[in-house]
Amino acid sequence: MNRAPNNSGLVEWVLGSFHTSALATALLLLLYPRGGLGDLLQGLSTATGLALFLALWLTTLYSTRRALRGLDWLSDDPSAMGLFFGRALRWGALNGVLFLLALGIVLLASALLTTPLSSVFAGLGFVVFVGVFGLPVALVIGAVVGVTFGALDIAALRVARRVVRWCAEA
Amino acid sequence: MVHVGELDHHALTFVIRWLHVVAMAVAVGGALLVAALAFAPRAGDDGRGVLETAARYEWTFWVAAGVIVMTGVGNLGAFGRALPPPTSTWGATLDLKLVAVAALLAASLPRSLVVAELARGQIQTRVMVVLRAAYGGTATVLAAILGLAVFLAHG
Repeated sequence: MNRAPNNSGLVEWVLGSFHTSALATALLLLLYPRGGLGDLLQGLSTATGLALFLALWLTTLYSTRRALRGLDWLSDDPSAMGLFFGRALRWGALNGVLFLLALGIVLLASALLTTPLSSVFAGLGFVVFVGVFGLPVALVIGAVVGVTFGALDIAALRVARRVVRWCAEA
Repeated sequence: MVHVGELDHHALTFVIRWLHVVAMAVAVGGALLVAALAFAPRAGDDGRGVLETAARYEWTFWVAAGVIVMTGVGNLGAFGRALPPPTSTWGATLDLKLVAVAALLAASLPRSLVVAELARGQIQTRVMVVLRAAYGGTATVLAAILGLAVFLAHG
């Protein structure tokens, strides 16, 4: 039987990109109706914003790829679903930390390019302070976001499984 | 007199808008192409050809989706403090567009997973029915989002 071109990695790509795009859209949906989104975006340069989004996309793709490694995503086995949630929690938390790290690097690079070196060094202590105390916060937020998206992924996987089986009937 | 920094900012804003439009064109055009192939397959195609095109589209769709969201935030950022309030007609339209984008993303996830799985195995009898519904629906929602975007840009 003929097979399609190599689609290995498509599921990881789809899920990782979905998580990134859906998270950003959800944040916009939460922030815009409350007002103040313009002020928030005004404080962030366009290039920095783009770099942060790309960083989130990259770290999320990496985390999703690692979380899905070796999993049979069409399996009916409840233990496979349990494993899925466990990995969503763990890799979500790690993704939070990776994004915090990327945030620090992007903001530091932005500061180096736009402000005098003496001001950058003065602000470095603040960055370290935020990094240390932000670590547990990033872990928790990442884990919560990871589990939430894990639940959405499982719902989508179940719908996909039903459709695929329906296709095979008749 | 235009300063270099100002020019760069304008150039970056232009590039972001251009990317936003190109990504949307890719998403809409691809969905229409796959839907057209599913409704009127080429002679002798048992569904494999359409499925291969659909699988390729799924890779591209999620690039486009990411770029649309990323540049969409960039476009809002370009307004800065001049961003119209959510209570205005423009704001209500933006809210509606964001809800439509969220719905498109949520509905596209199972569509992509179905295509990824179907493309791995043997051709099933109902594959064309699924592809017609999936890509016809995707093209319709994208067209609605496009209408809202046109209102936001020119309304």
